[in-house]
This record gives sequence, C-alpha cells and structure tokens, in this order.
Amino acid sequence: MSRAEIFANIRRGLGREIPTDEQRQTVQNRLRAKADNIIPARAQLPQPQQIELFKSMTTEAAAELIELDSIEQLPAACDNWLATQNLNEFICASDPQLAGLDWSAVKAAKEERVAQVGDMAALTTSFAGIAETGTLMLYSRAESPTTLNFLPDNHLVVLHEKDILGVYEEAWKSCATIARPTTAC
Amino acid sequence: MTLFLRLLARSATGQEFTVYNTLSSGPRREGDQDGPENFHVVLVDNGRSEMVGSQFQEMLRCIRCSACMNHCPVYGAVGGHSYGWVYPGPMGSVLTPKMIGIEKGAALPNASTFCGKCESVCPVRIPLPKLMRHWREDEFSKHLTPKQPAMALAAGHSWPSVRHCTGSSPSFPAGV
Repeated sequence: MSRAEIFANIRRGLGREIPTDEQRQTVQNRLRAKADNIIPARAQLPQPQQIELFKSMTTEAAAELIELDSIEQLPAACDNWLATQNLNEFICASDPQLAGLDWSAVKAAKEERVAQVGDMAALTTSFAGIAETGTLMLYSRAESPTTLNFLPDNHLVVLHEKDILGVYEEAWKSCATIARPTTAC
Repeated sequence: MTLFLRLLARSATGQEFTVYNTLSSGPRREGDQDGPENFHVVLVDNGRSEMVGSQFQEMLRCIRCSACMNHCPVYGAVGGHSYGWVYPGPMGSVLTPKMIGIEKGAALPNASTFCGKCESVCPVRIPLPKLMRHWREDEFSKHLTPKQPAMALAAGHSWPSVRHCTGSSPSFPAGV
C-alpha cells in the first residue's frame, strides 16, 4: 500500500478532503508553536533543587556520579575510575571541550574514533541533564558520533551543572536552537 | 511526544523513563564519522488506516506499553504465546481480528472476562472491553458464532463456561 493510499484512507476515515491552504497553514502554525502539553510539577523547581533532583534520579537509575570542581580535574577522574574497573583504554569524543584538556598524565590509552565492537568505555559530553527523571540528553555530530553513546559497556558522560534543566520540554527547546543532529538520545 | 514518552515507561514497567530513546532525523551529514548512509521511513499500514473512522478507531491510540497485559487475568493465566499472533493481551484481542479477520481470530475477543482492568489502567484510555464487544457482535452478525455457544446464549447459559467446554481455540493461518 502506497503512502498516498494510506493518506487517502485516513482522509476518508476522518471525512476530510485534500486540505485547503488555510487548513495547511493552521497545522503548520500549530507545529511551529511547539506548545507544551502537561508538564509534571516535580521538576518545576529553582535550579539548585533541580540539581539535587537530578542527582537523586540519576542515582536511582543506577548511574554513578562523580562531582568535580572544574573540568581540568576530568582526566585524573577518568583515569581513576577506569583503574577501579580494571580498564586500561577508552575511546573519546573529539569534542573541543575534551580535546583542550591535559591528558598527558593519564595511564589509560585514549583514542578518538567511532565505537567498535569490544570497546569497553567511552567518554563524551552531554547536551543537557533532565532533572525530572535523571536523564542525559546527547546529540550526534561530527566530533561526537552516536556510536559512542551505546556501543561500549561503560559510558562516561560530562555534564555541567549549568546544563541541568527541569523537564524535557526545556531540553527540546534548547535542542531546537542548534543545528539539526542526526540523532538525539 | 514527551507526554507519550512519560506515559510509556511508567505504564509498562513502572520505570521513570525508558532506559534509552533515540530520535533519528536523517542520514549522516558530511563530516559525520558514523550514522546511516541512507535513511528510509517505512509505513506499515496492515489495515490500520482503515480503522480510522470505524468503531475501532480508538485502538489506534495504543502506544504498546503493555499495561493492559500486566493487569489482565486472562493474559496472566494463559501467557502471550496463546494469543497466536504478534499482539498479545487485551490490545491483541482487538487488533488481531482486524489483521487476520474475525473468521480466524474470533476466539480472542471472546476469551475475556470483561473485568475492565485493561480499560482502567490504559494510559491513553482505550475502551478495550467495548472494542472486544464490537468484535463479538461482528462475529454474531456474520453467523460465525459456533453452534453450541449460540444455542447456549439463546438458552441463557454463561458464555465463557460453554466456550470452555467446546474446546474452541483460535484458528490461525499456518506459520503464525
């Protein structure tokens, strides 16, 4: 069954004809408006409380949190964590935020590439943290290919406190302001 | 979309959110290190568009969360394979006859106690017992109801007990 036939069936079922320009415009306006639906009250909080909620929900989802005072502490923190897991290598996004750090003292081997079968750990940044459910939102781009997110057994994710938002709706709106990603997850 | 993502995991497993969601927007762009070379969207209709405007239209709201199955006493007793096709549980009892025809799938909407739990837990408020009742009516109007249950109905006996005694089972095409 072709797409045209499917659409024709739907129109017939709804008792509609081919939409007029005005009807099309109404739909386009509605899509452009991106109006919010019901938003849970849980995460509509001041930012400090959103951060606490994010930590609590993330931990509940079995993530491990390591808090750093500055991004410069990241290489040592990664190295320590990898050592506790008996891992001596990891793959890393070629994200400028990460590439600009001093990795010279890190014992684990670091490679910047897409993930492959057998990779045990990947390091990327995150676009946003969502306090409502402790969710991380990432998007694919040339310097952070999406395979880093889900192929390796362990995913180390850098999230700045300022990027913790209350609910998904806020994150989608921020996401809409950046260039179209191939995937967002 | 976010509303339905919230409903999905909470109604399915009681989790706060699905562990992993991916939104794909197209093939890889120039410079991307991975991602698909081509991106295709395949619409699988399988009779669904014909449900629009019919008495089964409400079934199209289903988000496949499985809340109806989690609470169904029949599904809990017989398990998913007993439904004999892709969709088990109360939602399968409504969808399957649409896909394979009431002639072959009539046993499914009949194997319900109509306790109403499925409707009460459905996050998108699909009136599943009402839709199963439509299938029973359809079966009856097409004179497909087996003789014994039809006679029992006429005589005022309880339907499920007689259905059980007749040993009726779904009749599915070979290989499904």
